[in-house]
Amino acid sequence: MWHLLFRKLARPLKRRGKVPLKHIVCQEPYWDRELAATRLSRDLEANLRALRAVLGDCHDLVTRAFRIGGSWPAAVAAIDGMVDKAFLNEVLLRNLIVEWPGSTLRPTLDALRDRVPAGKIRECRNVQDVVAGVLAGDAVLLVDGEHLGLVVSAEGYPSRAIGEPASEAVVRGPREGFTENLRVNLSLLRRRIHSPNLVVEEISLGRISRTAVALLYLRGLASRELVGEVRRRLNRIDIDGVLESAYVEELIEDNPFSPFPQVLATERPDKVAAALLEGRVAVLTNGTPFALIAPTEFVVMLHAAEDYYQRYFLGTALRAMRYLAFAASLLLPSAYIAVTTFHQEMLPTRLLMSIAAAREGVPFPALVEALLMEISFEALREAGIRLPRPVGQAVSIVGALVIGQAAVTAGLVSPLMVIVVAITGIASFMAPIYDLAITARLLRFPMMLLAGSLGLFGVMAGVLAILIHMAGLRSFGMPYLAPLAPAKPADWKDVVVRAPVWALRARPAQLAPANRYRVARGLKPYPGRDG
Amino acid sequence: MWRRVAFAALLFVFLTLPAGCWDQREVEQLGIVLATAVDKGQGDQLEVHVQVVIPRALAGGGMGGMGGGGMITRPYRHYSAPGSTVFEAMRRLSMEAPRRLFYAHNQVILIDEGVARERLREVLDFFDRSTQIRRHVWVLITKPGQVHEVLTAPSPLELIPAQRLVGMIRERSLSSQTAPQRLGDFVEMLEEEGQQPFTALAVVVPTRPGGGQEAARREGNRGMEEFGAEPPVNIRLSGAAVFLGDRMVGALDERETRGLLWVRGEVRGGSMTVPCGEQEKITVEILRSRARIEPRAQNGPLGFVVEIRTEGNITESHCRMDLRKPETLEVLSAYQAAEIAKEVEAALTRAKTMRADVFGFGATLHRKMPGHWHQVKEQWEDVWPKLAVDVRVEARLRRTGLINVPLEPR
Repeated sequence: MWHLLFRKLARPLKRRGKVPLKHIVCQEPYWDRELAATRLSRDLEANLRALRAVLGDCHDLVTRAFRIGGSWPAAVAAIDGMVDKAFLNEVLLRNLIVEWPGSTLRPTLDALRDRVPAGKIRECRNVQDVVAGVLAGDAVLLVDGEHLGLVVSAEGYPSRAIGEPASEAVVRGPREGFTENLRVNLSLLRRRIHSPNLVVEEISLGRISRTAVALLYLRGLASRELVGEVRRRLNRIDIDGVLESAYVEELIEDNPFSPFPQVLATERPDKVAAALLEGRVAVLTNGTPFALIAPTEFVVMLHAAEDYYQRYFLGTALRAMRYLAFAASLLLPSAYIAVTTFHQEMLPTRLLMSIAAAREGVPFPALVEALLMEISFEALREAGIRLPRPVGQAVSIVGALVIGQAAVTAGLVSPLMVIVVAITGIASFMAPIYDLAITARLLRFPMMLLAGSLGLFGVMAGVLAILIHMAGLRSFGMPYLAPLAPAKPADWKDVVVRAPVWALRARPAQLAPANRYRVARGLKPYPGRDG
Repeated sequence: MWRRVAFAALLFVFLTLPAGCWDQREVEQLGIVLATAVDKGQGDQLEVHVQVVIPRALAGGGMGGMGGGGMITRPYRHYSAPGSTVFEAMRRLSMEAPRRLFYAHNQVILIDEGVARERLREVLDFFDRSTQIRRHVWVLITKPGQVHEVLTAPSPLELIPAQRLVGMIRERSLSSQTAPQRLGDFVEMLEEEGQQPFTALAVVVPTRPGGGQEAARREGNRGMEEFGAEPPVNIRLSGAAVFLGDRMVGALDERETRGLLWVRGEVRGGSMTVPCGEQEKITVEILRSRARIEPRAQNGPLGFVVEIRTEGNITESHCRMDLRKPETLEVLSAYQAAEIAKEVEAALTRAKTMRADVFGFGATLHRKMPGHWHQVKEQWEDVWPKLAVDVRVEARLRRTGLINVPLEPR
């Protein structure tokens, strides 16, 4: 009923926007058909002129004209800083200029190809290809008398070394994390899955930024519909630039208005590999260490990679604690507010007395007190992240210890509230996925308002609203609360409980319908049975 | 979509705000009542006392510095108000108490014996109806005029007198000689046919010769301020007040009270001294007991069989018998059984004089022989004291400890 009403209201708004949005935003003068239609000519000078016409204002464009073997005019074009200088100078140019066999024949492309020791060589026919190659960090070799150029892969820009993922550290488990370089990231995955079925589909997204985005899945495992759907959603994207995978995430998620993340972003290659092995699909974006995994259910967000690397008893215990912590980070302040301002009869007598003693002289109602503390805690946390690291620590110490202590001594807040806020903070740090922690942080505030106005009734109403919303969410068509709702008891081995590896035989039912089992039957260790 | 979001936000605001935080009360605005007492007032009036904690005085470390000046030995205040009914008096309390009195944490209700003998029903009606008072509060009876004393007697160990009473109630099974009841149970016994209610008495006892109530009154308040000084009086939970309907008619002493609890199968511990021989004694620690009441009507007049089974450990033995022999234990447990039967007989005798069927014989008859019950229920108070009650006790001694012979100086 409501959506009908709103559609009516929304209609005039749509009509006003006469021009479809993308035509305004994404105009890109240099990537037009004209350029692609301009064939390379046999005249080297003409080709270079055409190149300069496009990239003339780019002072970092380097064109080096030389003579192959000292006699045949040729040129190399590249962008300074994008190519591997050592390769260009010591190998490519040396081979072509100095060590060119003194043949008097005009060098053919085939001959050149034999003398260029690069793994990836591509022919190009039009100016568009040349420009694209140069901008991507390749060196383009143009030879007088040829209407084809050679794009030589010589990327050599510095990138961050592989390091431990900052947002998802482990005690036991691989310490490699993704970097900003897509090639490196793909290699990190290839190193984990040596399978010809690991498919990498690359597209470039962003009309201007031309960011390389890779779609990965295991052929035969991931369902065709899923892969097709992800591919369709990726191809739909028409935007000027993709600077982080969050851009992609927001453009492909199912419900853009939900506070819950529906695509999992991770820095851990082992996590992506595990997801691929379950039949999920990964999307890697050049320029960011965060890979996306789709589809992602809610429970998976509460699972850490380490759950599978530690003994399963511990994995289970930690998981149970994490579920509790998620609930606490969402509900603890509101439960405290509700119980202390509405339901004092629910507390044990002695606890009530100590709460009453602690609140004696506090000038604010519990709700205001909690909001004050939570907001300053969030401010503190944000300040700690944004500031340079050494200063950040000082801020947390001043903020947490000094102000906290002073506020309690001054009687502005009760020590119990400080404890509640601190526990809530710690609980929210327990979420293995940062995005989910943010969700809980955000939803905490409306829950506190509900608790302050309606008591536990309000808290329950809020929890129900959240649950209903979550039950309605889909991640690439997969129910967000699966396997809890809809209930799939067969998959409950990997929800709160982390069953031992030999018991986790089946992949999640909805993910890999064609290939359900990942562990052979009867692998439960039983020393002595075989001999 | 944004309109929907805006609409949801407005809905949220309009749904939550008009409630206006109804029913909201901050903890610090509450006066937490831990004990309520109903006393006789002037003339026809009732006097209600409440014991309210002072949370600030109770706080340990955190606020302690602010309280200043050492430990407060009385972290509570009393408020009293007269009224012709309990509720009226309670509302009058608000004219004296600076905070909204909150009864959900009330732990004990003390009722003066005079009130219990005359006006119990109206008092209980209020407490049973009240939404704040829980059915698990303890109901205790105090001797006439002692209500205030029980509420105020200094208790250095548990700083709040109400907590001290609850503490004693909690450990009641270490003696099993007092029978406190919760409000809910008490009311149920009151309303059940063939079952008369009972509950424990809280009495004031002097701690030293010449202490007594007078001395307590004289130096009571002063003694409390000096922390650690021996208070002149103690409070003792003792025996059971016995009711006939909604009127208190008398009391069982401590031994008789255990007799009552034996029959009800509610003895959960305590010590029994059993003679074994001319001079010697053994002491048995009671572990548990069960009881069954069976009405008997075939082949003769109506009567009851009470079967009591109990288990215990020997904790003291002055006997020269050899505790390693099973026969010895059999003999000793027979002695104990006889002793238990004597306690039960004592309780029966006393209850019969008051005509109050606190044991629930009538209720059992009602359950097991409804036909019979309907014939006698109108005159049950006069019928049951004449009925024969056959008490059969089976006592077992479980453990004798590792010392098999008494200490013997040589």
